[in-house]
Amino acid sequence: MSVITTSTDAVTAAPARRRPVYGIVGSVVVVAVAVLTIAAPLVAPHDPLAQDLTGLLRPPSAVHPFGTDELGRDVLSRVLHGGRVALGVSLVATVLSAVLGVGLGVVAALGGRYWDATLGRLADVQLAVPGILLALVVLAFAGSGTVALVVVLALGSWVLNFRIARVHATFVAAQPFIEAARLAGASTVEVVRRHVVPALGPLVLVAATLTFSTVLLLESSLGFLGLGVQPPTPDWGQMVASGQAQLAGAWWVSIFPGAALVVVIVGVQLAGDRLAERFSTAGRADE
Amino acid sequence: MTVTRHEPSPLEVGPPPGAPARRPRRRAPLSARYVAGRLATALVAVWAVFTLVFFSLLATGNPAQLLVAPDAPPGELERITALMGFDRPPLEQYATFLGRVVTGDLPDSIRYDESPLALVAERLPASITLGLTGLLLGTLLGAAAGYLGATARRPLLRRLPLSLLTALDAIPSFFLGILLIFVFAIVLRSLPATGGGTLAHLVLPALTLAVVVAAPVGRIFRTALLDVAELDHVRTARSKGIAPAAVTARHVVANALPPVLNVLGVQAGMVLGGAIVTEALFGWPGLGQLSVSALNNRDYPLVLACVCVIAIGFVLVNLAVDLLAALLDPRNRR
Repeated sequence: MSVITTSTDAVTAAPARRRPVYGIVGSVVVVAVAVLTIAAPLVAPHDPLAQDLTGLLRPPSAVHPFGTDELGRDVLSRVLHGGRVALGVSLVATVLSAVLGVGLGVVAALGGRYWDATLGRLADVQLAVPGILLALVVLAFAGSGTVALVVVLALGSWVLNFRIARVHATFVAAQPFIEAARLAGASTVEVVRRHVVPALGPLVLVAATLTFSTVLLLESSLGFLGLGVQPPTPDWGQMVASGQAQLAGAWWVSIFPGAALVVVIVGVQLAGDRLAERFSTAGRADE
Repeated sequence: MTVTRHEPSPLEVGPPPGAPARRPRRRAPLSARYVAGRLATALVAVWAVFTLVFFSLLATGNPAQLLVAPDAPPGELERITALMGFDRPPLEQYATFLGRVVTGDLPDSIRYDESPLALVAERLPASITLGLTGLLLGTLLGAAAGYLGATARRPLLRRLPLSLLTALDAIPSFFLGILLIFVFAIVLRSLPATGGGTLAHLVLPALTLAVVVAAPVGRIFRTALLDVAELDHVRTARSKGIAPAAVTARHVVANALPPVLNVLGVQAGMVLGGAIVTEALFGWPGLGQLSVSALNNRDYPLVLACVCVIAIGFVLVNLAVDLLAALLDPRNRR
């Protein structure tokens, strides 16, 4: 007997649902990081921009729990303040991406064949251009302001939301209650506003967790390449890059902001998995 | 004399003797329509990148400012502006720009005083080496983890490799690279941290890229193996008495490969994008590093050439994977 058949029993016997504890841990982590970064000016022990040229690259200690960087700035304070920028920019971009994706998805689903074909092609083309390349072009030529950054991040991630919204809006629009609403005299705009968009809510929320991870990844990668948030404003990706040169002598400059990034990404993914189960959607979109 | 008619036995397969040998029906494996559709999307994607680059350039005001050295004599700006046609109407500029990009007639690199395409061509082999090594390594790692995940009897062996890959996948590439440098180059002192040229230099960047590929490949391969193992044809093959190893190889693994290919298509693109970050991180002398350093030097003709070549490469890779997937599985020919 092949080994493969023996194992299927074990796999089907395994619980199909993850225990909710992961989701709870994920949500707690996300909320904790959010609170800490929002309250950064209150909880940070030092000024994130204050340089101390007498205390460069000090290892972690009681005064500087995460050590100091190459300009003597407190790494813990910079990680806390850097989170405000990285997470804030990513959150705004995620919302923009969801609005763009859902808006275009609903238009594609309800606007007739012409819009469906055009927007579908547009999404294909968008997917055929790597997000980081798009970001490089726009940020290099058109300048690297916060607004440009947010727009680039949203442009690099709207397709997932678009596809999910399009499929689900098509499904919702075919339901009897939509027909009933139309018979009751509701206009298309009203149907969309009162019935289609609310029905998309849970799915979009789940997709948003995935979008947020993607966007944060792109944002920090751009920061790492020096194209994201510009110094002296602290940003996680940019901090990892500035610590690379000191990696041999002062690992803490790179490792702590990077670790913060990993904690947030894992937390958001766990919370997102739990949300997906809660709304019992058919798996995450990338699988 | 009696004519004995040949009675074909019911078990005999094949054309009756005397009948013209039936030629197997030959059909192009992919319809021209499908290939043309994919090609059209690819062309539109490349055109969209060029257009985006053009409008980004236009948004800077006068792109000639980017071409003129900061210490150039006065009048140089006007000369370059007229020379490059930046004083023409936007639509005419757009046509000229597209023409220049298509023919590869780009202005010389500011920093190297050389044709940017030559610089790009010089760096291309290193990028392809790194990309292919990463893709191959990731596919092998992912396939091994997926196979173990579907077949291993010990729960630890079944879960651990895939969980490990999934965990590594949650780490952004650039930070994973930093961690690898820290562990292997600084703590263990076993591999060089940055640079290129030797096999030892290839290990860490390729490993960084491989993780991006390995985790999704492993997950999909495991699911596909489990799905295929339950199908009727596998049960039939087994009940015919085919050796278990042959059933696994020919009937299960072979049929679990097409979904993996689809994932590889998506991931090949990610590797190309990720290569920009990875090359910059490890100082790998490829196209990604060239484009980042060109960006930092404000060497715009070079940036332009890099972006165009990367975009074309990305589109070509996606096109190749799409066509290959359609070739293997007709359900993908939509």
